Amino acid sequence: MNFSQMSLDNGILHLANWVGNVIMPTIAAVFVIMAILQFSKGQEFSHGMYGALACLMVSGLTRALERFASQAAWNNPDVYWMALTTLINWVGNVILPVYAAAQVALGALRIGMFSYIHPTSSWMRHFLTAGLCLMVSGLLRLAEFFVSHGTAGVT
Amino acid sequence: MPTLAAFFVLRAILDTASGEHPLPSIIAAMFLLGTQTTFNLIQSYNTQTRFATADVLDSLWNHLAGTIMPIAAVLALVGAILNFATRKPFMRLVAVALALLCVSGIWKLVVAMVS
Repeated sequence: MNFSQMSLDNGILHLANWVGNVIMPTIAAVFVIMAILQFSKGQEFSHGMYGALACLMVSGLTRALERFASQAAWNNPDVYWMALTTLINWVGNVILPVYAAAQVALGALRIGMFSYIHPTSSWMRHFLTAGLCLMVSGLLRLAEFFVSHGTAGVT
Repeated sequence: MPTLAAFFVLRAILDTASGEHPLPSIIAAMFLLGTQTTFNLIQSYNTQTRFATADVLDSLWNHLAGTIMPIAAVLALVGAILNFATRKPFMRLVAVALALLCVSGIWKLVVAMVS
């Protein structure tokens, strides 16, 4: 063994690369299998499905987090706050609209299968979810408005 | 050292079998195998002045925050994904991954709060 070529840095770096590039894509298959089995039993399967997708996107998610965390100089005290804000913005402005589109498609499918016109019908829940996904900023601003205009109390 | 490192690798396997996390033992094994390089690294940080101790500690902090922690962030992200897929709490690990990428900024934030 050549100890002069072994270092903790290399070890952790190669461990992270091995886990991210070799193990996680393999585990993705396990999660797909789990999702199929849960689907067959009528159980909730979205965690397995999205988990498998995330397993295949470790590198991309890492680059996204790196981008979020490098918007200011390393010695800027606001860098963590900016990273968290950007992460939340990304979820609200990128992920949720895609989720809204999926909910619209699900709602349309539900209408095709079950055409009950009732507020508790699941197709209506999907359309409402899609609308709420596209209104996150507006809902937040509305809550802020209520709080900022409610400081005087009820008169 | 290699024998001790091998023991820690075995311990990682036994830890996993008993339901505990294998990562601490794996890191310990890597640390033991990298003893010589770590020694050389610390030696290179020694400025041979009266401030040598502070210089070594300062350089080690820089190495930890700038090199080791960003790699640890990847492992935290992997943990978050695994927790999400197995329906365990995962938001904490996402916040930790971001924090590991912002260690210096958080340090400056604490300094700013204190002063």
